[in-house]
Amino acid sequence: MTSIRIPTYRLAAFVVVVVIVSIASVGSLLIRNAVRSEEHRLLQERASEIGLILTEAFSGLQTQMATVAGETQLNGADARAFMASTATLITAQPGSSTVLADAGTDPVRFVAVIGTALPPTAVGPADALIRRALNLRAEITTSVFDEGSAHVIGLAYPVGVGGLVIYRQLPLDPSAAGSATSGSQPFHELTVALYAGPTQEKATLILTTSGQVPLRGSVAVASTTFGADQWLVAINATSPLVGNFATNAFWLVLVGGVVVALALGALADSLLRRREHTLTLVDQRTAELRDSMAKLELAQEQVLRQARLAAIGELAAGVGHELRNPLGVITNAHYLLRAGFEQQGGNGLMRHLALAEREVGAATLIVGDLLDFAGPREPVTTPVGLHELLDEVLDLAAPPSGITVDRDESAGCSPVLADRDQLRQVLLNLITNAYEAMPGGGAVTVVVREAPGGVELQVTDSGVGMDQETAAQVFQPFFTRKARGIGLGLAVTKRIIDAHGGGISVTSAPGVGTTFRVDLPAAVVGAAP
Amino acid sequence: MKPTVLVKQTVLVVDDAAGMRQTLVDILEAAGYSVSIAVDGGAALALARGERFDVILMDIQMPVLTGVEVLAALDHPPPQIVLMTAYALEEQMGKARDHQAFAILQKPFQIARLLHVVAEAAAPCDGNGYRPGLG
Repeated sequence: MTSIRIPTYRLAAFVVVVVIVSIASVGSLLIRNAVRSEEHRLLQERASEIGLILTEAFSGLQTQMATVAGETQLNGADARAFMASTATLITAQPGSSTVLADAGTDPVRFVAVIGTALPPTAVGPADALIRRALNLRAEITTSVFDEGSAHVIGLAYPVGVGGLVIYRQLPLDPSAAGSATSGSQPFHELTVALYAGPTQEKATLILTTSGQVPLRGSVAVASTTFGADQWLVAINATSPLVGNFATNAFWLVLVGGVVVALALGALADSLLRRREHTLTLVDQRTAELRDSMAKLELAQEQVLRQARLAAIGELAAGVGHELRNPLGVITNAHYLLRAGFEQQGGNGLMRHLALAEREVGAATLIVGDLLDFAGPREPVTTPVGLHELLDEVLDLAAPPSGITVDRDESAGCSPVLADRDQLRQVLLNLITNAYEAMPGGGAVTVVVREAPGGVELQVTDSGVGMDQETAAQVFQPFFTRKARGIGLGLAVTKRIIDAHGGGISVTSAPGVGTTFRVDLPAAVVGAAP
Repeated sequence: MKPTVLVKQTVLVVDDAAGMRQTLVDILEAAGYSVSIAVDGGAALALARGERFDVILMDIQMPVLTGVEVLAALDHPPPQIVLMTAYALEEQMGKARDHQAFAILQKPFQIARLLHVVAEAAAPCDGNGYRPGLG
């Protein structure tokens, strides 16, 4: 399953955008709420103002009614007195009637009427209104109702004598006020609905500047007192009172915030990407530098190792050279001692001599390996018979007690083309190696036989053996598992075999033993023996 | 291949190391040879020019003249020259082969092999007086 990796700089830019958009959203919401609250406050203020204006207007109307009632009372409280005062005080409007009503009778009887004629007695809502006015003192009362096919408002005010009440009835057309408040009038930005009651009921609607009642949206209401009654004025605004700019400010903040967020996000993305790129570049350069340093260190190490090996080689060559002469003299002296002991029958001393000879042989082999490692020499090849060379090697390095050597050599095996001294070094190394692999004794088997294009030599021991990992390293210089030895024997052996154009391999199993196999080219037929 | 008692074959042993010289003289005399010695290459060359030896057994690294230089100066065998070395340089080995040294023995050597090589070298030669070395 593969996962999509989003770069860090993109995530960071995204976070920047989200944070700024969030701040802008919260800010715009706060602004919108503040604007709404201000709008409502202004609307409420307007409603209260209108309420005050209406109260004043109603007060004027009440005063007019009170004046008519007062004059009527002063002039005899009869139809003549009413007619006289009304004619001077009230201007008749089309469709309106002003009446002196007597509530002392049932139903209420209209004593005198000015304006549009009415039936002689009051009925329904008008009757109830006039009777209610009689019970009030010096206060106007109103009622809106349907009179036949007309929608009317009735106003009643007690005269204060007997059951007499001044009653006015005016036709109502609530929508007629529509054009009156438009244009450049005060409050032209408002829609107003006036109700002759404490609630917004359509039946009590007196006037409205809107085709739709009740008003919708953000509506402010104000109560106003009209004589003994509570009237209600409801308004809303046709356009925002706080102004269009303030109303739309939150959009401005929101859109502006989003734009700024996107711009900053893009900027952050760009900067962070550049930073990441720079960091990557720094990492890359650092890695390259580290790599170079490592290579330099390795090269230095190699140079040091080469120098050390060269120094070791020089020392080894010097020591080896100087040791070979005394070893030669000791070998010669041993020979003479042996001859002397044999003549004088000093057999008891022969054992010690044999020991001394063996140790000289071991020292000679080590010196030979050291010198070959220090200064590898190209082989000088002649035909060499392996049978004879093996005789010499086994004479030089006779098997220690407890170890037997079995030789399995095919008769008439071709001589090999080799450097005699170097090949002797190889055989000595392989044979002594086999001895040392069998500290508790055992058998060494040496096989020499013809192989395609040459001769095959196998040296097998029945010793401790080794695992694959160890076997893979035995030909490396200075690799050794023995307590004694410098670990050059098999390295030198391989070098010599390779220089002869031959091959060497090892097979081994822990606890079973080890076999070294050497392949050497045969001497060309007809070459000198 | 053993030399007769009456006519002993002659060997000149040349080595600057006294111990080597002494042991080789004893070994070769015991084997029936008549042995002379020289302590360096210069003395060896003087001796070899004045006297006839069947075999010269000579170290390579020596003062005055090296074994190879003596070999080059005594260009025409007989005598057969067997060289010995503890650690010969490639160049010296090549030169020794070019001047037809009979054999080069690497110290320390087995006495049996030494005696075998000396006997071969001392054996009567064929018509042209030279036989290939034993390597």
